[in-house]
Amino acid sequence: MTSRAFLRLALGASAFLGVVLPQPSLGLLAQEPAHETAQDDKKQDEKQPDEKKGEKKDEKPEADAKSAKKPEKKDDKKDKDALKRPKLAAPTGEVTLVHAKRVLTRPGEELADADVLVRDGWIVGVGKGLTAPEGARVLEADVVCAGFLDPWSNAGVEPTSAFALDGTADSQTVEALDPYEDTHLRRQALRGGVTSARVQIAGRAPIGGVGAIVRLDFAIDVASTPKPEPVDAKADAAKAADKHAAAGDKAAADKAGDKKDEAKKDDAKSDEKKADEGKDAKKDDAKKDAKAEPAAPPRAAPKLEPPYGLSVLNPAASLAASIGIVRQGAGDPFDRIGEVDRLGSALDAGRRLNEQRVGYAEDLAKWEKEIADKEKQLEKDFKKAKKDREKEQKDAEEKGKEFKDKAYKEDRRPTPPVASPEDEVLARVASGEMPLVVEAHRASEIRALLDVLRNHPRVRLVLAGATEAAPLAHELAERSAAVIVFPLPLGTGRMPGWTEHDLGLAGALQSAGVRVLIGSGGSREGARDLALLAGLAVGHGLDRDAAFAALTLAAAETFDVADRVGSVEVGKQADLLLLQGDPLSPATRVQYVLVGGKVVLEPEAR
Amino acid sequence: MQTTPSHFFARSVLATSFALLTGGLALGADKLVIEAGRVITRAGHEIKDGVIVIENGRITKVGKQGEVDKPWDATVIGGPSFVAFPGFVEAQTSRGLDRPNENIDVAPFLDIRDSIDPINFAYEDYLRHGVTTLNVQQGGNCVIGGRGMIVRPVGMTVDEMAVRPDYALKLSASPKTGKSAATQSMALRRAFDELKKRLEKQVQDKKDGKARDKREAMFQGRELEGEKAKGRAMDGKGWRVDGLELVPRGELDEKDLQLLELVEGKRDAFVWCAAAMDVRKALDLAKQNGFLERTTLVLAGDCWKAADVVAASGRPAILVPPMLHVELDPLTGKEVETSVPKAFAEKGVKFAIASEGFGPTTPSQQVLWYQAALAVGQGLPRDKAIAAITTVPAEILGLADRVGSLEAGKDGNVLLLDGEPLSIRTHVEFVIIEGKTAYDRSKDIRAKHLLEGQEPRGTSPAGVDGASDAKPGSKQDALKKDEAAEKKAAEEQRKADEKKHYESSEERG
Repeated sequence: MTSRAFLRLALGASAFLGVVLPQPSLGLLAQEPAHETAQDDKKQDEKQPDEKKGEKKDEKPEADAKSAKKPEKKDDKKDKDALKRPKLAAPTGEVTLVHAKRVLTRPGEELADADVLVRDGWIVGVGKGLTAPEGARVLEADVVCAGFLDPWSNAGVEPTSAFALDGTADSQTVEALDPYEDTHLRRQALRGGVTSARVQIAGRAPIGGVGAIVRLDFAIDVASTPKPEPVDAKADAAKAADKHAAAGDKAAADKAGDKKDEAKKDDAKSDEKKADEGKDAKKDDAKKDAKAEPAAPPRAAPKLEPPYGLSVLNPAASLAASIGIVRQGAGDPFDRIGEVDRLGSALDAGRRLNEQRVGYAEDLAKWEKEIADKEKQLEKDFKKAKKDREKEQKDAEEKGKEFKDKAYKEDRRPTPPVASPEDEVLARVASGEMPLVVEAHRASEIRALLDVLRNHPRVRLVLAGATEAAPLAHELAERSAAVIVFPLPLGTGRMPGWTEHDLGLAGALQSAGVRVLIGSGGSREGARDLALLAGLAVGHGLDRDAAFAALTLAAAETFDVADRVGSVEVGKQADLLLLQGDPLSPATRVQYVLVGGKVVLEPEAR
Repeated sequence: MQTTPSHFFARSVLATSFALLTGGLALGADKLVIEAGRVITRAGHEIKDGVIVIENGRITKVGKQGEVDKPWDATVIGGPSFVAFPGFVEAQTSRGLDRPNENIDVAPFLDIRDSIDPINFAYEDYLRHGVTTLNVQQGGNCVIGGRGMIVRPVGMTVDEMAVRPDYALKLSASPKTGKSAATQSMALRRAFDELKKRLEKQVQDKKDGKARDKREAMFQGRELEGEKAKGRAMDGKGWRVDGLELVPRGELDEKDLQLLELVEGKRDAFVWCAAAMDVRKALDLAKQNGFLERTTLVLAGDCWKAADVVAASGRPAILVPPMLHVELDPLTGKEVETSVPKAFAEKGVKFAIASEGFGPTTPSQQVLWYQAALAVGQGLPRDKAIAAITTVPAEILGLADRVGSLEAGKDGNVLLLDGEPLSIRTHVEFVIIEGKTAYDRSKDIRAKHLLEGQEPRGTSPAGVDGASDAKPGSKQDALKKDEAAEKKAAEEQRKADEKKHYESSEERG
């Protein structure tokens, strides 16, 4: 396990048990009287893991000393760096404390009467009895949960691109975002609790473009604020630990884990220092800088600047395809199996490119070695060759003949595989780096698709629509495919003439073990009804927690943004809903919406 | 000045007078003195009873009557009733072309000089409306278009017209016909990606070749000899290909050279944006590929919403008509009107106004000064509006030291107006381009025909012999003359009033 992953786990656990991780730079929490005791706690905790380990004992005092002294210096430097780099917004120190009767941290887990502390757009504390520092905004609500993610939408996408019926694999949805038109549609979605969406151009084309996960408030710039470095908990944590007497042991253990990680980090830093002693101070800064940065987006994608770059959570979240869609004026609606075949061969091309790349790398290494050997040999023989040549030349001249150089043939350098831009995207899909979202409805087509995909075990399949998927639930579960269900009570939004509808589909799939997501069908305005759709699915057999997960964490995980959104946990960005009641009830009103820690919707505004 | 509400008709009437207007009226060949009651040297600067001396096409002196030495052998034109004004500068247009070159998506190898039609009526119109310098670019319906050219609207060949040949490239951030926003961006992205790949391959081939040459020489027992022709290392702010010095520039694909110049920041770019969402993409594209500092945005009305983005980039903009952006509010269904130049001025964007229209173009949208006058009507300060059709476009085109204002050392491009500039009742009486009279309204047959109904000789619909309904000396003719005299008197009165009004408003302001 990487240290980062370990840290995240530790943070997650500590968050669940009510540990606050404030940042000392703010200096507000640090002024509290309980500060010193907390520090003592920290030292004690730190000893436990180190005693167990024993090996690192030597370095411990040094690390301790550093951890005690470091914070102030570090913050100075961080502020400077923030100024240096224009792309990272300087932390404003904006703090919001949300108190709620219920905090739905993750699907199936909740805290009663608890608080969520948000700083600079990031969640830095979740637990009971957190105190708000001076100047912080305090919000009250009945229920707090993560903002919903609509995995099947086109909110904010330029319509011609969004609904194109012919696509190209390397066209990008982020390049078709229009922050200026129809802003009211995105406001409505925010009012419905949907803070982000998977937007997808050409979703109904045989093979569309690359979809993206975007925040629906395009002006939010949290992605660029440095993630606050979690520092140890203080009085609040102690209080919380007291209250959770039953969970005390576990809390201590987790805290210890947390400390261990801190200690590890400090060790790493001291190592770094030793190594860099002779080097420039700047380099050191740069390294810290890199640490302060939020997790980089998982995929390389076109570099975009605000307003795109900052609200785009994942610029390459999916490749879209569709099967058996009636496209007026384009394609043959009865050529369904052909579509499946073509999708399969496109994926084959992607996989072939991956294989070729591996092969090329091997060939190149082999060739380079061979050539290096050959050159060595040539150098060795050079003097002799020179002599021979001069002699031959002389002889030829004497005999009045023409002198001819011996030709030299050698292996050509292996040529790199020629990849079309489409194939490059398909290669990423074939390797499972990016999910493949296929809109398909008929059972026969889904079955054909599953058959074709048997050759591509790495492809992460997500079905959209999947109206007749219920009989195939077990096959889908086996394939570990996710399904985006669009549970509408009427035939609207379905394929033309498709009257059969089954609100029980989501429940049937879920009970078979398929990951169910709820989407609004890829329209530009449908996202606002997302919670209602989920509620309908619950009314027809979908597990309530699964439905909540479908709107939040499961969707975020499916499209690789769960490191930033999807749950109310320390270390995630604060995309939060403050509700009057249960998130899936149609009677519930969204009071406040926080996107990236900023309150973008207030009750007065409606 | 007047708009030509049906100049289309005018076009069809007479096609031979252009030579008369342009070629036949050169007065002083070397030295010209222009006298005017008012000399407006640039927006906000005015000389009463001024004199402009032009020698060998360049302005040598500008000053007050009596304070400036006038060469004794110079031709003198003008008089106290005239207002001298710098020639207008059109920052970009695609009028006056034979074909607009809009078929090929990525065509930086095309040159507009092959498409400029010197006898196109557009250039006559430009003269009539006082435009003395214009940048001809292909239209926005492209991905990467051809190279443009800065011209003066006189001359019978493209070379005579040329001020700066082989000028900027035109790009479009907005979808070309048949493309969506996404596919347009994809096409732009691919154009530069492919350029990079091709260059890299050429460098790799060269490297391989060199390595092979070296090994062959070693095998044959000789040293590597013969310096290959050297190339130039690549210089790009967005991205660069290492080792390009190995490839002689002459070996690069002819089609890649212009785009490479763009990436190296050695060529200006005009990027068309039809909607606000395109502005960001245009700037991103320019930044990623290293030509941001040489980019000028060509903006349609909708782009006012992105005025802050343009302002933050610090790049100048060209606003094309209509100056008033009208759209429906999606919720209320009401029309929302926005003054585009005002919106950009408020954000501090440096902008030029251009005359070519986006969408259906009306005749008035083809008149540069009229668009500036509309902006004044919408509340843009008068000086800014004047700058937007003189000094700012001159700066954008890199001709700030040559055109845009009346100063010693600049080109002798002067308009003689019969009233306040930007007034609907003012005419351009003379256009002087580089010291030569290029236009004289008293000889503008087409304008006469349109305004006064006077039909040019030989074009009467009644017959070739010039017979018309109104016979010379007839009652009707006399009546017409009276009307004309009355009209003239009324017009003079109006002008006097207007001048008074303007002066009093100057005092107030």
